[in-house]
Amino acid sequence: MNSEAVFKARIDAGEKIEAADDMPDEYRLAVLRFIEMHANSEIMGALPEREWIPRAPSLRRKLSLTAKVQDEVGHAQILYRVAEDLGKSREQMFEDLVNGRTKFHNVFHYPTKSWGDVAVIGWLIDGAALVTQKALLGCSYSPYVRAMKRICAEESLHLRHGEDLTLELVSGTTEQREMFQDAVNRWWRPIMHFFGPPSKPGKDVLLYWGIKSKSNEELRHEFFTTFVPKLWELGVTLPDPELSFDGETWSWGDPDWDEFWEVVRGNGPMTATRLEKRKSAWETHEWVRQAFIRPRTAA
Amino acid sequence: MPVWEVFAQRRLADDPALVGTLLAPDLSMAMLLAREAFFRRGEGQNYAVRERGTETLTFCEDTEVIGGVTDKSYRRADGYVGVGAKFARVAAELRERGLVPRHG
Repeated sequence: MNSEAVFKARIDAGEKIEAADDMPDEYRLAVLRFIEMHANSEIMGALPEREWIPRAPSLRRKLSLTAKVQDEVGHAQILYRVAEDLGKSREQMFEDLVNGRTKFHNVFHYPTKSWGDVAVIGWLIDGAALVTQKALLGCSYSPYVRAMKRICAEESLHLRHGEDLTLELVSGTTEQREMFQDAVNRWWRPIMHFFGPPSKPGKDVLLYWGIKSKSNEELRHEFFTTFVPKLWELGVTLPDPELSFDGETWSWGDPDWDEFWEVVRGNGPMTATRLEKRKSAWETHEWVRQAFIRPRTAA
Repeated sequence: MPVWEVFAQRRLADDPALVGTLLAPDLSMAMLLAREAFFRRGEGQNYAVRERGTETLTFCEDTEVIGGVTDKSYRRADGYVGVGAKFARVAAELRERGLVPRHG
């Protein structure tokens, strides 16, 4: 067997790969791109919620939202560190992100219009992320698995925070209920898009190398099973008239995938604004990075 | 900038377990960043760092500050105890208010 076939056999046998191991280029690049996009999504995903920190309705909510946003930035740092060991510097990853050469998840290209959006993001979008991230705990690349253990634990907390916000809104005034329902109506399609389009036939590189273990469809169905009954139990409607469960499988209306492709290519409603914010923060904080790396001299 | 490996001891009797890596210019920054990045919720009774490629583990000396010294329950699961029970109460209240249509 050639070395790539030997490597593939190790993956299939459940062996885990470390940063210092020899690996085929196709594997290294596939893992790197996947983790880079994940890291990009975390650093960009911090921005929509950050907008609501100054407008949180109570001090406790302001503190918990701030802690959540801190966690998301922390996830980015942990993931960029893992990606660096696969052969790309974080400076290059950052350049590629802010100049639109690499992608981040579709959901973070949309505006947040109310506190209802903060509840939806905390519960349903972090919930969607947790469904996909739990499936990554079996990834063949060990440094990513170590990062995912921490990230999943923190996302589980975010979920409880989001659920708590949701319960407060839906059990409140008519205006609060309508605020939450309006947010769900706007975010449902981007959440459906989040899981990705139906897989194309042929080799799925991520499944082949044991980076992902479940298909987009399986993950979307797991999301439906976890969250739709709960939403219905709270009297929330979902803006998909075809969404139903026959006792075994979910049916749903296929969303407009053209919108998805437009958004991830960098033409979402908030893409340019948020990338500009990222770029300007990087430039403004150059002095912090310089102070950080300056060698210590004796006091 | 050197890479530092970060190890956790959930309990003091545990072997240190690798939890991740970070970049830092020197040992004291590595210790500080490790505490903030990996242990800000007290996810360990102690932790250690080691510059990659070397053998020496340096453990935290002031373990009392792991997890912070102020009340930050909003960062931890114990800050959300009762959310599950709250869901059941809220769902029942909404049914009473007639706000929950039947679903097929």
